[in-house]
Amino acid sequence: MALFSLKINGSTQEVDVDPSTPLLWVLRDHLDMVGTKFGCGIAACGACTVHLEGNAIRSCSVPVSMVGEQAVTTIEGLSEKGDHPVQKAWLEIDVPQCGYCQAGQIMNAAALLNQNPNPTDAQIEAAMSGNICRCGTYTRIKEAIKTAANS
Amino acid sequence: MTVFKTKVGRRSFLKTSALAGGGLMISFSWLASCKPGEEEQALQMPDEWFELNGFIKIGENGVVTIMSPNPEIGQNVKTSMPMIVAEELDVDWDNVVVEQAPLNTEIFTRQLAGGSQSIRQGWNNLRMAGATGRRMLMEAAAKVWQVPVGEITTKKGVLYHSASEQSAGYGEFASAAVGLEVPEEITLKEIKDFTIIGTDRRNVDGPKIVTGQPLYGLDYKAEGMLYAMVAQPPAFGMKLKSVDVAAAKAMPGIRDVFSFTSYPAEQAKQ
Ligand code: FES
Ligand code: FES
Repeated sequence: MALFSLKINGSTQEVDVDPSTPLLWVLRDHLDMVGTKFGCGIAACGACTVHLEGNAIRSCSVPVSMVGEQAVTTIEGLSEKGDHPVQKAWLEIDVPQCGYCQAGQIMNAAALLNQNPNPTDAQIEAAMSGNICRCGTYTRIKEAIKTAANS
Repeated sequence: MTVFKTKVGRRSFLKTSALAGGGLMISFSWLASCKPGEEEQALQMPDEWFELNGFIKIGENGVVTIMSPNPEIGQNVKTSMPMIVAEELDVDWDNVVVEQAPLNTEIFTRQLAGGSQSIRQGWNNLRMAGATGRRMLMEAAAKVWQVPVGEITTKKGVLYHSASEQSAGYGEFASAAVGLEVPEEITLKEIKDFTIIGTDRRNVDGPKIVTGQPLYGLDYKAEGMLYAMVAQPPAFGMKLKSVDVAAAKAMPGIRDVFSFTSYPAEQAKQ
């Protein structure tokens, strides 16, 4: 066990965990932040996507010991009132079905738009292709990213 | 015109009760048998059909809560099933709150999703539940206004009696409707008059989903709860050769590790 001081959604959180614990489980089990989802645990589905210094990462495959001083942003902290342009576009286009994959989809889409405010179809497809949706909401995800890009 | 028989007296299909803070609650057997009038004669109703229960709650302020007993797994029944109730109840969809009914093995015996059956099986019953609620509110208003119930009309959660120029929101008559006799026959809307069914309505859980609020089984924690997790082979057809149970058990928080096969016949051979 080791003590870690993490910067999450603008505040500092202390945890005493095994250094190899994936960030996902630190969030979900130790900090009760369950918005970030577990899908595969092997970096294959994207459900656990969060931001590390604004970049999308798969929290199931990042040990807490690698986080250090870097700022973590989760779906709960993407915006204060749920009004990030991506969240607004997601509601406008009515993207989610069961919703299980959507925290990861939204975090990945937000990171994409941070880096590329006006992605082409091909760039959206390339950036989002690793986020799997069992419900098959892909066409609306693409539409919502374009809506957010134009807002 | 589709007329449904509510089977009051023979079955406890519908019950009404008062809500703690005032208001009306109608509970009804979700999959209870009810069919259009013409088919009524031939139908024998097995008790087994009384499987799921659902609830409509109407608050004094006119806000309507519709309980959705079936599990939402991305097929959007948590939105579409309550839409059907709301249609016949004749309320403004914006005034509807949907709640997931909890697992309740005493009332519900078939809280599952499967076979694309939720809407097909629920259609008549959902409509009837809404229509019955509407009718009882109309009767409550008719009593107070001292006018024939047939002269009362509704629109978007408001009761009207045009001859005497009276109107009131459902919430105002919700308490009065409690304890009224459940009508024996219910008239359903004509399909051409639908304003909710057949329209696009957004996922009722959308705002919760996009902000990461807890909605799923995995988000639920109870005192002393353990997690069980199956480590599957990485490809079909693979078989477990060996597993180092001791090493896995030495990890923090691990209670037990064991292997099993999903085929009983194979298990028997071992
Ligand atoms: S849970 Fe992390 S990628 Fe699937
Ligand atoms: S919305 Fe159900 S998995 Fe994507």
